[in-house]
Amino acid sequence: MSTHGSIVRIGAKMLIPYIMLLALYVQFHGDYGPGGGFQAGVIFAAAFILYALTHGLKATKQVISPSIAEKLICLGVLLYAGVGIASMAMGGNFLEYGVFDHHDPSHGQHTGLLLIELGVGITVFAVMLTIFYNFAGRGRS
Amino acid sequence: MIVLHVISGVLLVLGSFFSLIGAVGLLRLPDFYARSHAVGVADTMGAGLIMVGLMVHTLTLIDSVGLHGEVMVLIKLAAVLTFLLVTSPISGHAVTRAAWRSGLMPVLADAPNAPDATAEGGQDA
Amino acid sequence: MPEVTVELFVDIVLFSFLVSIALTIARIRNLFVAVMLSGIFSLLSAGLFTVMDAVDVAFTEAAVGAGISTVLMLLTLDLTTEQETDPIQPQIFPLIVALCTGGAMLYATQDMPAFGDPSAPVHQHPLADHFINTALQVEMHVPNMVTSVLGSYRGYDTLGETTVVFTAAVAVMLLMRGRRRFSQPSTIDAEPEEGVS
Repeated sequence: MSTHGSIVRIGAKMLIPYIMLLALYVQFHGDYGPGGGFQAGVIFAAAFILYALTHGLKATKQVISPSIAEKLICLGVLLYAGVGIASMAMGGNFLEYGVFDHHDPSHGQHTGLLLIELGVGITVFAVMLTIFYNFAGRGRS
Repeated sequence: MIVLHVISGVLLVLGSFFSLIGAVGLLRLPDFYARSHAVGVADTMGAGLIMVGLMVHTLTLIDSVGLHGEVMVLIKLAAVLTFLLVTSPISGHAVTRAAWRSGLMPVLADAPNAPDATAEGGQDA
Repeated sequence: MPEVTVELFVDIVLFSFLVSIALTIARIRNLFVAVMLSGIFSLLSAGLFTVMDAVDVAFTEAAVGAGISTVLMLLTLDLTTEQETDPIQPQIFPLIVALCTGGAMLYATQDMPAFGDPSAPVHQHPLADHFINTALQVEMHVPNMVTSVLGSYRGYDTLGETTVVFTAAVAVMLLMRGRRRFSQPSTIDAEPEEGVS
């Protein structure tokens, strides 16, 4: 039904790498400007949804299958809670990032913030993608 | 310096004027395809001119020593301008193609539902 | 003073757009138009958040509300009809309840402090000064104060928020795929369409 090489498909192919790059930029610059995990996860999922809308749901499922997306949801939350447990294992309280670097606690804060924002970003991305997979392709039933 | 302020002001006003033309076309044109043509062309031009006006305005913030942090703002505005120039015509095309594929027929001059069909009432199709 | 009047003008314009869009969404019968209008509503509220200097919130609102939420609602619309069914009779009682609740909230906002007033009670708490003064220079060296409060000072809350997002995904999966044991193939594995071009 869909002809190859149509304008929308080529436009999406050109734009999707830059959307993903913007998502990674927003993720890791959350310390210095607006951004952080939630925004980055949503933008990254938007790139995948654009791919699914223009190239088909089957091609998107070959990139990230629904089972891998489900495992990524758990991985994000596990990373976040794991940072808390790790800080407890290194002698501090739960989610006390200062103990990650004994010489300079503010460096430990940067490390902790980076890791938990990564966990949040992974979870939000995987959740958006999973909800999209569950809704798409059902048709009029 | 004052020249840059004037240029950026003119560009911003011109961009808003083009967007206004697009909005007037959206309200007044008779057919879906004509409206999508008006909005796609005029809105891209309007938004693009506003972006260029903002870039010129950033240049007016140069102090005597140099550009400093304004280089990052200029690069970001240029990236947004490129993104707008690529996606705005493509989305207009996507909407129009979806309408064509779902069977919406354009209002032609010699069709019975044309606005002034009575004026051309004697001619063949 | 010209910045204050320009900002006031922008606020009035944006809010009047929001009110007119909300009234149109409530009155219109075609659901496709309502979904599109709700996407525009989200984008305008993102603009309002930017005017109020809350750029992080505006970012998230634009991405989620104007982007993903519109796509998900259009996908849901594909499963159902496009025209909202007419109500059987005019609904007077819900209108009265909504008007009373709105009127009570309007009356209550007369007692709120002005937006950004430094003598408001929320700014008098010693933690506010502590976050603003020491978060950047002394403790964290993280320039974005929102991220430092969200991730470090109140990191446990953010862990709870992430768990809420996780639970939402689990709920969607349970609702949409819960009928497998009737030996029907799961519809998520059958792809009837190629996607639009």
